[in-house]
Amino acid sequence: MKRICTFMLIVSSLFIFTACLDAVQPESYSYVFAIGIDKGKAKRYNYSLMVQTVGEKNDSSMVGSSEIFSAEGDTLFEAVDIIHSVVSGEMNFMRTSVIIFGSEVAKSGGAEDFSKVSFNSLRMRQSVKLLVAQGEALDFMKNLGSQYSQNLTRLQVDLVMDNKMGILPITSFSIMSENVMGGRLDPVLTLCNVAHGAKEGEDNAQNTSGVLRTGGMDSYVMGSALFDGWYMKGTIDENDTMYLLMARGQFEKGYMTYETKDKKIATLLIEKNADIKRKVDMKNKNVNLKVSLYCTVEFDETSSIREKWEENYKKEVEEKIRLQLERIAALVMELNCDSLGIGRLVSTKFYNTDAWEKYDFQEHYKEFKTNFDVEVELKDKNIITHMD
Amino acid sequence: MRMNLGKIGAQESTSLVAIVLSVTGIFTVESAVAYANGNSTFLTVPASIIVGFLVFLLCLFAMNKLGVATFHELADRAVGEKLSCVFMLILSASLLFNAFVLLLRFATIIHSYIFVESDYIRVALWIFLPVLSLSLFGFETLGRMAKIFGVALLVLFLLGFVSATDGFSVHRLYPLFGDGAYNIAISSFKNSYKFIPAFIAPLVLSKGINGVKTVKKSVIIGSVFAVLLSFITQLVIGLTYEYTSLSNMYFPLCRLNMSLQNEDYFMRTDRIGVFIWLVAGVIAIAYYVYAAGFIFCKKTGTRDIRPCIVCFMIILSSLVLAEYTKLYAVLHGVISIIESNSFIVMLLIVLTVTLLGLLKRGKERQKE
Repeated sequence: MKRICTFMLIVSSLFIFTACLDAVQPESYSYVFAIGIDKGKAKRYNYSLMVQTVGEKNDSSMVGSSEIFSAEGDTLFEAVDIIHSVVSGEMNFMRTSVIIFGSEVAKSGGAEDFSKVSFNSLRMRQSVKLLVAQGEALDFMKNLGSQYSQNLTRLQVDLVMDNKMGILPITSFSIMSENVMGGRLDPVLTLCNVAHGAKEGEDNAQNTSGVLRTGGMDSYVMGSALFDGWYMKGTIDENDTMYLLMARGQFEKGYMTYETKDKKIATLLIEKNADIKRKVDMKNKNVNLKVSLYCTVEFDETSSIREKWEENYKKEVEEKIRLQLERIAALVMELNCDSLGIGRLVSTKFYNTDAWEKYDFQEHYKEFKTNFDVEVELKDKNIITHMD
Repeated sequence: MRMNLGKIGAQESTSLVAIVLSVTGIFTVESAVAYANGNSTFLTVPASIIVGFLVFLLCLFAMNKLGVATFHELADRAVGEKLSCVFMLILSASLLFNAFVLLLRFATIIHSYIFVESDYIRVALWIFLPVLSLSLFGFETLGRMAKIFGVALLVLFLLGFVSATDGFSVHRLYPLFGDGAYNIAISSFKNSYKFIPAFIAPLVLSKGINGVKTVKKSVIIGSVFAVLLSFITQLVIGLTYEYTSLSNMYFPLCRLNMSLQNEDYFMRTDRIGVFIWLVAGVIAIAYYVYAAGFIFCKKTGTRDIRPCIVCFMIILSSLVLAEYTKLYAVLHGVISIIESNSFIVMLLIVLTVTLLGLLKRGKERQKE
């Protein structure tokens, strides 16, 4: 018994002592929160690193604030070499949470070049989120906050919360690699934008996804970037993103404005009722998807939509959603992006790898036809709706 | 005689068998080979353990018929002392081979995933010392360590999987029978070479486990645990990554939480899990080294097991350290040769010993 206790003590003490060797204080590190990748002028790429700013200990306004450093290089290591010499502290990639590709880089397959970076040697997590910026990534990063103090906190919160609500797709590096290598689903990345001069009253001002506004950061996340393997093929806005996520089975909540045949306007809040059901018919190359939703009619002056839902409006709403889903499915197919994951469904029909690989799904992808069946239940139909 | 055998009961031996078989099943899967043509490891690894178990039952049957207490006594009676010596030394070598493969895996995992900036040699030596101490302390210490850590290791292991459930998706298992039913069957038999020595070792050490009946009970229960745990582990890996990604990962178990979309408190549990697995690994490696030393001493007449264990550990350490030298290619070439032929050799030894033993018993009964 004594020997066992002695042995256990020696073994457990070995775990403790190793961390004291060559210790580095946390304050000595410069943590890189985000990496932006744009086309370079002299070199292949221009890498922008958002590095955490260390402020006064009790200054809560400095939480999440950072500074941007950028340098050109053919690889990330070249750029880091340059930036390292001008940054105080040892650069540390363990807290890198987003990588933003500029649109040109995304279209030319820069994501594939980046995938060759050794995450292990940089100690970067493979769960780092990937985003695509409309325009330049550096521009997007610069507009995350005030001129000299960028703040990534809002972006991180938006990504997590909006993904949980089913408003934005989120793809990490490990998921994108898996999707591209597996060939059964093409990745969909979050799209980020900059609303330059989005101030009320300015002529020809760009605005936030078609809406004029004032206040807040110029940088925002909305919409999706569609990929065919490592190459970006197109982008869609936030409204189409909602339908794309519905077709992918990742939709949680959303809204649609509904104008009835008799010119009544209502805002329908829609949410997921049940998981999407998918079936593939290999013989006729048909993919059948059943989408089940709940709907709440929020604004309806006379409450007539709620009362006559079953007779008049249910089929209209279902048809409207179905048409939108089919439009999105046709759009992604035209771009040769398997954003709906038809490859995953088809792969379940094969019992061994040889047969699946011989089939070469990429060759047959466009032969498949998607059919949507939409069912919308009124969530509050049993509640008395008259307010007066 | 100083063999450090001691005596352990059913609980200790069950825990020891379960830990050794589970560690062997989970940590000796070579990703580049196992996932090259689809993922069917959730079938082949448990099936290999079952094949090893059937071999164990055959040996046990022969031992009961001949009324012998240990496997080396069975071999002596079946094929004579000289040939028995050769067979047992081959068995000892195969136990050492298992220990070597596990040592190599753990040293590489810890160096690649945890202590990246340390020297490989320092990391490897850090593992060698506990293994050496544990094997020197003997079989009774091994058994009691296994009993102390057994349940805790199992619970922590499974908790690690629970944290990764958000990233599971059934479609990743498809195509379901990866390499095809025929290749799955062949692979199950071929890979049982790792488990046959692990199953025969308790039959060699049966005097330290209160006899053959206790050995049988412990091995049955331990095997059930090992089959279930191996199946769950490989299934979890298959639900987290597709085979195209797995074939490029040295050790996918260390990356279970990498596919999670939302960061939470479990982001680092993969790295913490390595230390839990290391405890189980140290017990398994020490068991193999001890069992190999025991067989060697029995057959060569050496009366003290300790110099034998030290020598074996020096040889294993040298081979593990050779991984990071110019001998890497030679080393892995030899490993491949051993892996492709070991099943036939093990099967030949077991069948020769058991069938000849049963034949001899039959003749003896006829004479009576």
